[in-house]
Amino acid sequence: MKNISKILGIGISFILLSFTPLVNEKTSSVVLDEALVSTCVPVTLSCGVSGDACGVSTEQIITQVEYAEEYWCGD
Amino acid sequence: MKILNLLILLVISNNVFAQKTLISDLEKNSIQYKVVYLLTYQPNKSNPNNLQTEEMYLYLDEGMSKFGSAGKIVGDSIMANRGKDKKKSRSDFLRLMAKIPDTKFNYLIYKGIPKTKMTFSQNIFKDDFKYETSKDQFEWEIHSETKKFENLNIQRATTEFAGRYYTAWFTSEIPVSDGPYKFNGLPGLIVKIRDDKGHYSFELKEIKILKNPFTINIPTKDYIETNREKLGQLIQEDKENPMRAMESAGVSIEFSKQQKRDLRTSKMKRNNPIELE
Repeated sequence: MKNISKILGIGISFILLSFTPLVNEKTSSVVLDEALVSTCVPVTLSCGVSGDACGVSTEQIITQVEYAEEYWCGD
Repeated sequence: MKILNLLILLVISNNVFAQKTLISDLEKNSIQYKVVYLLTYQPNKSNPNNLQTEEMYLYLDEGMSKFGSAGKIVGDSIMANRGKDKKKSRSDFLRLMAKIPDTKFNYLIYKGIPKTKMTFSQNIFKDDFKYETSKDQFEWEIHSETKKFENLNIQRATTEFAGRYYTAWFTSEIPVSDGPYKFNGLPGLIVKIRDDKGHYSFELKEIKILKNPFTINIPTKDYIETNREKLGQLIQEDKENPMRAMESAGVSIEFSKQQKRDLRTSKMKRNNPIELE
């Protein structure tokens, strides 16, 4: 199980992309809800799978992480 | 709108035979509907210029119904039917995520489950909560005023609920005593309902007769039984400390301090819930 988690973490790091179109602009770490700019943060799920979660807002990142938790760690 | 007209015409025809068939089928409770409402709401009580919209779904079947946002219902369905024997992959995950609409509402409302009751369920991260209330909690005043909405004859009714005063328009041409959110109890489907401040407005956009049979039931989960007040308190605590639920579940998100502040600010700004008391 540990090996599987490690392989998943290293080999298949997940990037959770927002379905909102991205805008090619430089971004700061502050992302406004109205801005169509994606920010990515490192995430480690409860089952050890790790990767980057991205979204145009911190709330959207949280939603993606919730689904990732269910998808990767749920069963 | 054309689709709505066509669907409504299919359902509500001036043909006597069709009407009789519709009514007799409804009496047999054999027709299953999917009703789509557009919710327009004001998330922040101090900012009337910031109105948001979301599609909300109401599934109707045999005296029961299920109501929730398109994002919540579609998301739950996609995750439940994702083929759990299938090999997990990043591309598969992204493919599933692309199908899920964004939503700010993660509750589901089941009316008539159990019978005469209403069940409200909502999750805070991995914790699933639910509470039951009586379904019959609305005292409606039905007025004589009528008008047309698309091809439907609709009639006005008013009520007070959870600190808001509502005007609803219902149609007895769809004799289903149901509507968006928790609203029910009128002698016809609620087509439109709006509070007097315009903070929450539901309007029917589409109604479909579902060809493939489905069953409305509350998913089997380890729900934490609660009540409305306690759940409201937990939701407020989650807004004030949005990282806590995830960290308690063993999830680590490397937000910067600023991002954590932004997350809390964003959640706290939504301070205008549909139920005020």
